[in-house]
Amino acid sequence: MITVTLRGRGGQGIKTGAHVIGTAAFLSGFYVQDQPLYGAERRGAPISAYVRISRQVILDRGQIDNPSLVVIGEESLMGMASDNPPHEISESTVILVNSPLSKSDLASRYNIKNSLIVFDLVKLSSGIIEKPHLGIAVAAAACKLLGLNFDFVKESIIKELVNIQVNRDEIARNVDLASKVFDTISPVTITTPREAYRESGILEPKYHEPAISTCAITATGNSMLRDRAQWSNYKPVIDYDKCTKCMVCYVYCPDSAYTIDSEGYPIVDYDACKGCNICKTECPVKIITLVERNKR
Amino acid sequence: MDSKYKTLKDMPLEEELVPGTLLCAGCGGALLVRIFEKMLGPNAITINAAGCMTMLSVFPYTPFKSSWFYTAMASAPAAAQGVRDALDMLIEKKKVDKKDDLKVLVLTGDGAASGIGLQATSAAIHRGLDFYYLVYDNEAYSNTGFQASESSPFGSATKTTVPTDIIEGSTLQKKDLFEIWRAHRPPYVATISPAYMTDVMHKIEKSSQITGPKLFIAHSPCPPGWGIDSDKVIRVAKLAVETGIWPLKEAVNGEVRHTLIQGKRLPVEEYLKTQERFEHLFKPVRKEKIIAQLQQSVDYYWKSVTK
Repeated sequence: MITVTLRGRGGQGIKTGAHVIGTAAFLSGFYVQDQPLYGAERRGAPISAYVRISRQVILDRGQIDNPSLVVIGEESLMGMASDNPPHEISESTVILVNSPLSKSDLASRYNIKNSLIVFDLVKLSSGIIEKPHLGIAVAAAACKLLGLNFDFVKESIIKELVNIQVNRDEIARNVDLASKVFDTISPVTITTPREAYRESGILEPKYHEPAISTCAITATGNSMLRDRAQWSNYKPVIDYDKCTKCMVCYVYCPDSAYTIDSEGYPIVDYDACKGCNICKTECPVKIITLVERNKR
Repeated sequence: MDSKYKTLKDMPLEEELVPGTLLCAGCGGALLVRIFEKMLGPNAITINAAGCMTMLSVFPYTPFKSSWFYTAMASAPAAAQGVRDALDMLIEKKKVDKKDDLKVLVLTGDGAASGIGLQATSAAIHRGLDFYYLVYDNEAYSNTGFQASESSPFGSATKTTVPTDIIEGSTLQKKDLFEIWRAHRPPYVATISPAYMTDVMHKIEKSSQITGPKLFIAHSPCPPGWGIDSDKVIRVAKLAVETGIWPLKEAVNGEVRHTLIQGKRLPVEEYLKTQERFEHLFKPVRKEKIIAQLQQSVDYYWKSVTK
């Protein structure tokens, strides 16, 4: 059995990507399982999706540990401590990343010793499609690595995009992009990792006092302690020389990321900012600009 | 009434919600919840019906500096009654000091307010329960992926509206929750919009003088559900008011007063075309009839209230 884990952000089409891989493998005659996993649907937050492909009926359920292939939608999701859920990978896991960086840069930045395949979606999509569907592109790349035939991949993409009501022109462009991505990726060997079966047994739940067994939070305002994944690649930066202290950015921030200092100037807490950019759009004097995070 | 909140600069600076929630970036509902909690201050307890705002407190983390109580979709007003009664009894028995009394706020989405939890709300208003009730109306069941609710407006596409030859969006009308509530003659009911924050502050300030049910319906643009960019949330909310689709009004003991009457309203399509859920009205061909129908219903509303 080959297993694939996809990681991306809500809204990027990672779930559709998993469907595309699953359907393409199914059309090729395999038994397939694909499912997304997220806490609750929300845009911008990290999500995962899984695909299992096998020649036999698949009896496994749930999340995948130690996948054959990990597909990562964007670089910011690589160094994240708070994976939801944590992914165990072994040395044999192949990692596929969408990033403008080179393979050696990525490998050294994140200390990766696994087999690493990098493709740059922005570069590949220029001239084909303005807003590429990330899920489709990563699925095409993954299908190439999995050794599937492009005819099935194409059929699968059309099927899945029709399902989510994408118009004909957009579908054609995405298929063009997928074919370009498919041709760019050079195949590597993907192995079936040793399944980490655990002793199953039956667990008997023990009785606990409600004080212990119910989800009561006795702390107040502790959500900043959450190991928060980066929500956005951009952060708002204020030009204080031109700031009029009108407080519009402060008032319209849904996440309490702004505070007002003793002189009346707004200050952004970048750990709290999700990058919705309401402040940038609403600023009456237009002095807020977006700056890439992690710029090195 | 002379208000102490004249401009945005008069907003209280103390935050009652700390950052770090799991809600979507640019959530219009979350913005109003933040402002509401600010205005109520630290002595408040929030009774949260299941919905998007479930994601505020996810074990073991909470953004609330004050108390938070989680209930099933239909039962928030009933829980609020229990909390209010418990507080009253403890104060009477002198186990809680009067100055430590808490304001009870029910926080629900439009699905719980106009659908699943409508009867519990009706009963609580009927009993004259002293509480605040805030609906973040994002016009669908957004937390589970934008399925149609009783609050989804005519013509809007949701994940569960079946497209027909005539219209791809909902063929059903949005429930008029304001009028349903007003029929109970509560002491205070109002609509609010995140684009008009001074109006929001005025209304919360005004209602705080009143004992009994204080009900708020908040227009809450939902970036993923409505198909808008997260930075456009305030723009879209503003257009809803400027086109007359979202009237800003209040009713004190059943007497309606509009807190903002536009001299000239923008055409409704200015609002509709900002959102993907109404895209089918313009693409691939303009559905003139349906756009005209939506315009007519807005014109009819304003004609009936301004004559």
